[in-house]
Amino acid sequence: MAMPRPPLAPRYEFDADYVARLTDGDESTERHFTEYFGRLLAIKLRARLRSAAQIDDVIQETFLRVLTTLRRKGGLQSAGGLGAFVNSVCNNILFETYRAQTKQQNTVPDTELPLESPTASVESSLIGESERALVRRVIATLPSKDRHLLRLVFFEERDKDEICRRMGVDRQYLRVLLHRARNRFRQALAEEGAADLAAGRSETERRG
Amino acid sequence: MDHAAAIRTLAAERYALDEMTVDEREAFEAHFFECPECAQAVDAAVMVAEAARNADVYGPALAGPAPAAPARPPAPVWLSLAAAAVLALVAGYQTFVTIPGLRRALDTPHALAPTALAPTSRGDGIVVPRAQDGPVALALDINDAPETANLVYHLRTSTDDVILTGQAPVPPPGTPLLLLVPGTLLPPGQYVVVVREDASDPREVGTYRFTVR
Repeated sequence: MAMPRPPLAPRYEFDADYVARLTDGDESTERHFTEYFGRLLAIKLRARLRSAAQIDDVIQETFLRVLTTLRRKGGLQSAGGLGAFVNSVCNNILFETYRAQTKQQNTVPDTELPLESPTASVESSLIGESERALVRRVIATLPSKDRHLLRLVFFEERDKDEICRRMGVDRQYLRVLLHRARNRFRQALAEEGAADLAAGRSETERRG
Repeated sequence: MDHAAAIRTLAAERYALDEMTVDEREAFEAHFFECPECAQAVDAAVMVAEAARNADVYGPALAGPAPAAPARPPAPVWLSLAAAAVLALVAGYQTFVTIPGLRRALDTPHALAPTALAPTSRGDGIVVPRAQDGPVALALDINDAPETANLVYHLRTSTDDVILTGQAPVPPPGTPLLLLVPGTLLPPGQYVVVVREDASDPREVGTYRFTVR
């Protein structure tokens, strides 16, 4: 599945101008729209659908219906409601997908149903090698106890209550730990982005 | 869910930790589709969580052990156990202690040649060949009959970084505790596995040392 990367662009206002450009088929706005909401839809769908192909299908169908509706109606009544509109269209398609799956399971013997890809293939699509390397760096900066906690929760997939009991922490500690890790990750990502930008500028200046 | 509630309740982290009810999840999704700030937060939290599901992100943190000195040859008392444990074991992984991250890779039959480890109080222990593409199988000799139903094990580097910890049922008498560890977690170096009874005042069952080369 071709997931959009890099991670979400900085805060963006989905205002009337944005919706108007999207409705008019502006190429760069459309690209931003599919990258931005593609990631959000992938995050939302990975807990609900088993295979990367199904997720991709739902995302593409969501985009198609959103853009078709925008162009047919000439925009949205409230431009600020674009995100909510995308989410509700996706929910409708999900509902249809579930219904189709139920019908298929009721009519096709289990042995003839296609084997779904394991969830791992879905997981791997949300993060690339460079982001994983950044997370590795971030995790290396954490105290040993916190690294161990992350490993127990995510890699070893142990029961969180049992982990907390054994490590003498509460559930809130896990959330705060993840909060701290993701803040450091975002900071590292921003620093890397700035460094890349600077390197790109230097290269341009050197060539110029 | 409004933005203040999302921030106050660390909604992005709870979402990535899969701690929300269905209703909460839907409410938060409805919010982050409209709120770029929360969208960024949940995106970053999910990416960290996803990366943390891979053993390799812990690599640098675990790269403590320096290349080890040659290990002493195993004492004769090990030989019978080693010979028994080197028998290839096929399938039946569920009866072993496996690390969850390995389970997906082990859902088909594999032959294993475990390295037998006996309790030891010092030294570098036995040499275990490095396995980059698959699991390392360790057969821990449980001499001292535990009084609990379960055991707790901790695998550490020589610099005391914990690589993994877990719980396992006490194996039947005369049977070693088999531990499968992803080879990627065991770069060359010295390691210690400590096994204790799973109790509030745990008694140590054995300390097992080995060197990966």
